[in-house]
Amino acid sequence: MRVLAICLLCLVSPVLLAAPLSVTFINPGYQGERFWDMVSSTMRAAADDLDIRLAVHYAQRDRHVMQALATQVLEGEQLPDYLVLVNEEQYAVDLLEQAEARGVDVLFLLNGPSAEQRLHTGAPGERYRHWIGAIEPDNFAAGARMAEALVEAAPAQSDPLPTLALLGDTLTPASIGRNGGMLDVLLDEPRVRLDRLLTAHWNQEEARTLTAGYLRWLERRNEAPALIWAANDPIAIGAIEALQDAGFTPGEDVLLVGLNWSPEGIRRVARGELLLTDGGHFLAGAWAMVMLRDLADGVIDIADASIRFPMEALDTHDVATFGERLVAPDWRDIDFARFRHTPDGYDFSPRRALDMLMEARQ
Amino acid sequence: MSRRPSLNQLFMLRLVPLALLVAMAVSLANAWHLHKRFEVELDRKETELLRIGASLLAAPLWNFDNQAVNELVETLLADADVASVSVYDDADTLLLSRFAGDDLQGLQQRRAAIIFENALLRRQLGYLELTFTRQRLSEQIGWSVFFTLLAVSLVVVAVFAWTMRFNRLHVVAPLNAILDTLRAMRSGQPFMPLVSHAPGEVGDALQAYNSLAVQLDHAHQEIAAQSQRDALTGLLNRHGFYAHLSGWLEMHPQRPLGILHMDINHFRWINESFGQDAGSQLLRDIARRLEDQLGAQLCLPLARLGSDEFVAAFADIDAPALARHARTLQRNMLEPFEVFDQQVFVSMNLGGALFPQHAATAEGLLKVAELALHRGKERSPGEYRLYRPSTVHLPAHEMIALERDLHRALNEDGLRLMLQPIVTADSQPGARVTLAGVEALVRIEHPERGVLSPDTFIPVAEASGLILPLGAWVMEQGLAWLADATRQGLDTQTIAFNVSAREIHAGGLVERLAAGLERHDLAAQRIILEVTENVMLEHDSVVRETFDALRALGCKLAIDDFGTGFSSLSYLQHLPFDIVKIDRCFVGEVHTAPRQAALVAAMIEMGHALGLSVTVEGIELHEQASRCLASGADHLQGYYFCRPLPAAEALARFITL
Repeated sequence: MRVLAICLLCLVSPVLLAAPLSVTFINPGYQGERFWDMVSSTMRAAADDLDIRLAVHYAQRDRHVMQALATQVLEGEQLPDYLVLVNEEQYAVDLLEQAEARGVDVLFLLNGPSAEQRLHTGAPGERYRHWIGAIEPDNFAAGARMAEALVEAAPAQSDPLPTLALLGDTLTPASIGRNGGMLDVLLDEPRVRLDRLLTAHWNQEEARTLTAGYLRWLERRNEAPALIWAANDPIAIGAIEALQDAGFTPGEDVLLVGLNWSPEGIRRVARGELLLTDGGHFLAGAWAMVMLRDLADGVIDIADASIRFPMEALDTHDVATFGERLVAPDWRDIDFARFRHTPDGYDFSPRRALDMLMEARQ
Repeated sequence: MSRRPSLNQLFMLRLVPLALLVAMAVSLANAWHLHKRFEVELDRKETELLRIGASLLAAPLWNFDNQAVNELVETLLADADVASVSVYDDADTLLLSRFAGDDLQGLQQRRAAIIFENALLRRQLGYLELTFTRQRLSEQIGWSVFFTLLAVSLVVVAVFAWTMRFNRLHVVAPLNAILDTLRAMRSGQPFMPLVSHAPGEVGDALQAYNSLAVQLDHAHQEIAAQSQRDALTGLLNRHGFYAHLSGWLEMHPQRPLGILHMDINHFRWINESFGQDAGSQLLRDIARRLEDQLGAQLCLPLARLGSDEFVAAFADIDAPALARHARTLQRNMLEPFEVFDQQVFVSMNLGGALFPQHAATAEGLLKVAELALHRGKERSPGEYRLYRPSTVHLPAHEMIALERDLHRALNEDGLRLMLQPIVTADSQPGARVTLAGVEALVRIEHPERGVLSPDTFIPVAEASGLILPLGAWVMEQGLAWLADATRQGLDTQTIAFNVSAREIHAGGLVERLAAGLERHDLAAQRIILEVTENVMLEHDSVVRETFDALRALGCKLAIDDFGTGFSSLSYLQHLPFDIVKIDRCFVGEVHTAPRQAALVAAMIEMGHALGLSVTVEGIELHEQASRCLASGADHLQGYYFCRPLPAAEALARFITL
């Protein structure tokens, strides 16, 4: 059946099969910024494995630059087959119009249109024919998982646990999802007294200041902090510093969780200061290549091109298991073709990718 | 009279307190209203400030942003109405407290919960406590009251000033104009209509005043005209004639003028016989006849001076022409008048005077004409007499002065009673003098001119009527003196008073004498009343009745100046005299001229034949006294025996006589 289909396709479109795919990714982050570099590197590793010609441009966290880069790409003579955008701070949706005009298919990575924007854009292919889909991590589940880990590890005591939640922001869909998952767990947990939801703007220093304020507040009440939920690793590290400044021992007096699988985060987990660091979503770059290859090859159609892939928490045990690999992984060791669509669908599990990485090394 | 407050003052007295009251009430009402409004506004503002403060503080408190909290607190404190700001956390622990300053009044504390709320959760973080001061409110109300008071006061002052000005221009000024006009009219100035454009009722009042004043002015003129008229005859009265004559003399100082003063004889009889109405009718008839006759010849309107006296004035006239007029008038009166279908005959005496020969003024002219009339009347009824200035008769202006002197003497104790003794004919000065009585005489002690003799002022007294009070004075003083003398032992002597025709006609003489005798407890037999022959000129019942009454009282009657006056002896038959006093003019040559001596002797004999006692006056020499004694005179009187003496001195002299 599948062979037949391929044959049919080859008959209909021999050129498509023959030519490699061309994909342009506009990376919203800085070049050198670990997370976004990881996104690019997994993407590049996958592109190599799947015969995709990839171009990556960095927007340097500037939405104007991002728009300018997209415009430049769309108005160039050599149009890519696919344009991969990140709806960072919800500014990328505006580019759909432009891409539609030029007939370039767009895939949203990590951050798709927000719920509000969906009212305008509709589903992929619905209002914009060239919007083919979105690959997003399950931030909600990650936020909830982190919160659950805190609750499980919390000491048993009759008094409610003074708890601080340090948010990244309240606008980015990824952040919104993460926050939602956290609240879903903590608000329903009777043992937890959620004192504050503070926005640290992904900033370590701000997180440190906010945490210090929270500690002073608690001190006035003759209380000590119990749990701190941080939206990512830098925020968690800022909180750890503030705790240490105030004479607390993170991991013992106070339990913290982070996210990002950042080397520093992983180190803190190893030192027991962090309960865990959730993440693995930088693999979305690779997942995008896999999915675009499948789409281009006709393995899936647009209806299947919108997925939410899981993230993975790394605790002390995991860190001990994966060791230094986690700090500087070489994703080229993995054959991303193995992640292509199967009749059971996709399995974009970060742990699978880690396991494959370990296998390749051995 | 205390000066009444002016209209403006009254207005001020009422308006000023009222205006102040209104200003006060308005200010208070305004203050109350403002207070209410400010309270509501302030309350709303406080609520809002508290709400906003709490809501703004939520985020920094949530985020432990102390700097932002501090800034917000300072911002809140910057509000003028906020005295202090305090922030508490949810455990009610004071986080922060700031104060605006000291000395703030009317503090009020309010507190609001600081609640943080976002899409995910809602938490109460603490409280914001604000203390509000009402100082600004009080100040604002104070200023507002001040400005309201100021504004109302300005309005009041403006209205007040305008009203005063309006009042002054349109009410007070017209009223003052009326007042000025009234004062001017009172001081004799003619009425001037007021010109004013005063509005409304004041204007109406002015118009009414004008028309009333015009009427009043006419009425005044009418009254003035009537005051110069005699109501009975319609002729000028004395006052009117005087005014006309004065005016004429002033207008024509060079033109000769003659006046005739007419006096109807026996007019009293008409009144008594036919009644007052008949008398009035007769006077009207006489007036009409006089007017008909004189008419165009008069230069001034005919006038009625007194009850039965008329006066007429002729211009450019001399004495003979005036005499002709007088005679014509007398002749004309001979035609009888009809009173109640009876024919009444009327005669009149006339006195004449000429300007400028006899007097230079209207007053003087009237006076001398009257004097001439009375002189003529004394001599003969129905006579015309032109005034003759003589040694006795003073110029008119002196007579007027004398009359004034007489008045003054009467009123200011300037009269002196003089007494001249009357002695028995056999008296010898230095040897034996028997005092029979005294004659009471009067002098005026003039402050400048010394002692004035009766010859000088009696004619004036008679003409002016002052003879009546003068006679009364002499009689009272004489009686008092006699009473005094009686107490000193002179209890048989008599006192003689001179009585003029006028005193007799005036009436009351008998009653006055009787009262005086009783008061001084004197016998009537010691009183002698001397009258001149002229009193008997008219067969007047009044004279007869008076004489009878005096006799009945017990007094004696003497004929004074016998032989000089009306030379008819017939009255000696009818009238009840007791004494005859032979005038001094018969005595002067009595001791040298046999004819005179014979005449005096015959007169004495005639007196005795008629049963009268005879006194000879004017004895100045011993020979005269001897001759008279030889001729049978009973009493003598004259300087030979004694000059008239002041009353006090006389008593002392007579006691030692």
